[in-house]
Amino acid sequence: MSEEDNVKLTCTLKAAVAAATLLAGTASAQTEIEWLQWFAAENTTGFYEALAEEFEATHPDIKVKLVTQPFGKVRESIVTDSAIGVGSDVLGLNMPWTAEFMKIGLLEPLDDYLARDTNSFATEDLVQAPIGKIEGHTWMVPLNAFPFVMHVNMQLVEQAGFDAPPSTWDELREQAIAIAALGEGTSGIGLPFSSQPPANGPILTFLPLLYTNGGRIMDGTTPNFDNPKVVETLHFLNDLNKAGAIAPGISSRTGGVDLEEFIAGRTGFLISPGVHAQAIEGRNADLDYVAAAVPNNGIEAYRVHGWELGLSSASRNKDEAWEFINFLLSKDVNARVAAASNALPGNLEALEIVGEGAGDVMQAQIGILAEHEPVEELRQAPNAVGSWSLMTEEMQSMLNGDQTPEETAANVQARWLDLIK
Amino acid sequence: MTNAQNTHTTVNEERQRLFRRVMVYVALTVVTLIMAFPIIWMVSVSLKPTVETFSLPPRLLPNSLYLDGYTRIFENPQFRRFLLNSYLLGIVVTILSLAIGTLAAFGFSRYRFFGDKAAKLFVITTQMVPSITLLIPFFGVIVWLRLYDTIWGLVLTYLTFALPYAVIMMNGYLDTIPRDFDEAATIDGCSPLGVLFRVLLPVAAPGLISTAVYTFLLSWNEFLFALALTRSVEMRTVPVGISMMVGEFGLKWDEMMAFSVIGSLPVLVLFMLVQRFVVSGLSAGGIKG
Repeated sequence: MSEEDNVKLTCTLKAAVAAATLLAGTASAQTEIEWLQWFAAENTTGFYEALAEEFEATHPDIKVKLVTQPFGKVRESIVTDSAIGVGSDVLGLNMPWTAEFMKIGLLEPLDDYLARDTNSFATEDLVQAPIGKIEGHTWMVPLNAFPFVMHVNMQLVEQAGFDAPPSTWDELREQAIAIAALGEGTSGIGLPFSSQPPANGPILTFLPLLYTNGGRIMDGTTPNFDNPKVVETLHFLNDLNKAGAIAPGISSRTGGVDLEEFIAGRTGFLISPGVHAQAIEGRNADLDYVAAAVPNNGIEAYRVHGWELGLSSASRNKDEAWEFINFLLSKDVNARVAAASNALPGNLEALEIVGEGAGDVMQAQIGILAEHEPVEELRQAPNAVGSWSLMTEEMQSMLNGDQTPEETAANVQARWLDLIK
Repeated sequence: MTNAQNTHTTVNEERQRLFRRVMVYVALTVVTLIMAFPIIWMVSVSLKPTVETFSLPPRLLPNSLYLDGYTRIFENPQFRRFLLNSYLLGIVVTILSLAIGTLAAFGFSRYRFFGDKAAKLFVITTQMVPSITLLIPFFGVIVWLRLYDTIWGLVLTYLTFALPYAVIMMNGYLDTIPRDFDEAATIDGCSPLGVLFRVLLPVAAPGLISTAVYTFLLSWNEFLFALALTRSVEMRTVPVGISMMVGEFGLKWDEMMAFSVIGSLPVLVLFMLVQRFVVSGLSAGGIKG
């Protein structure tokens, strides 16, 4: 090899090393964070991907990877991914998972992050239920909120001889029975008490009614299902069933079927999150439909539900992950997140933006949020998801006539305590 | 017996035969309808807005032609990606299963070696382990191999399910081919691999096709491992894509059924094209194992 060739080879090698160093430097400068959630699969095609790109444009040193799972698999994924060491940094959460995830050390306490001066929001402006402290710490923040409401088919209500949605239990009973009496496959209300996992029927219908009765199923962090308010609410459902006001197929009815039958105009009332308005209005524009507060038995309250965000305790990029959460909770972005899902914002500073030009259903939700008492007790319930299954089974037995409401309450209490031993 | 009686008997027998045939067709029609109803309903729901699907009384035919479900599927690049992944996975797993499985089956069928029966028994035994019990070990191995959230992780996983079947099927099929073929080809100068590729495989085409169809179906339909071993949307397959339509706030019935129809079509077409070979391949492969 000539000297000239040697020089050429040396120069080439040096150039290659320099290029590799430069590339490696660029690659290491950008931190990738993962966001595991199910939100991007919920009628928002492309929205969250665009949001991640928007964040990356203002934070060139951070790359956001969306990991989207079907809702029914997210809880398991968070647990298994974490166990195997491939967990995500930012976690989409549901409040009822909190106690379980805390127990296995999956979540990072957020107190220090919430105290930062650089945050784009004030902690007191957030929807309060998810940020309430458990064991002295805050574990999640609200991305958005869905108050539980009662969706009303006004055409059926009027056909049954009424001119306004029911606002009390007595009115609900009267109207539901009258609507069922119209025949032609109509029913007053559906009870989605399918045992199919996650078997969340009771939390969709039973709990919102219990809360408007002033009842609770927890006493602090201890199950307290066997109490007079619970029994009274069970009696109310049992009586509705005996009067023929409930849609048939209670034990096989899922929340999805309940929603679709309401959209098809087969049931008069649907108790579910306000966010369902998007599906109802989108799929049956001809439905004469309004949303109202869940009828009460003395207490104006609503069950708080929403999409929450948390940090994985195993994340190696917690600061970057929090930066992304901070972005999602900023007023303008949070308003857009809420609007995309037809939900209320997690940062209530954004409520004004969401309310501008909003339709009647959204205005009804904003009114409920402003005037009624929010209730959320599943966040600190031990084995909350497991408890839904046994509630479902016991309530199925009651509605099949196999046991009384008192026995149902006692059985759920005993089985729940047994479950958490 | 008189001619009149003979004629009467013949007419009676003819009527009985006709009656039996009609009954067979009635029974076949009923069974076919029962078997086909879920598919018919799937197509029906894919062609209706959801509100019609849940209207009473239920109707099989839509009020008007509704293709929104299909349009949304084809417009969404994610779903095209799911289809591409499933095709890629199915084709790669099928080719690798056939290539490796046929060579292994050739060894088992034509050679005797120490431990051959035990090895064959082991291959059969692997088919008896419920796949769900293997999920967690597979998860660990795939992560350890750094193949988590890659198509190759799924290829490797599906191969472990498809290969034993391919070996068993092809071994059974090759066993039905007389060794005289091998001997004649060897005398004519064929190497052992030449015997396999030039003589045995052309004869074993039905076995190859039935094995290929099975392995393709296995990877095309598999859900559990595809869900557990991938996490990014870019790596999802058709069954996982369908499951992602089951949201927290309801199901996109029209889209879900449209995607199910689209996802079922390749399998239906493939099976219809090679049905004859599949039946003959399965029956021949089942004679000896």
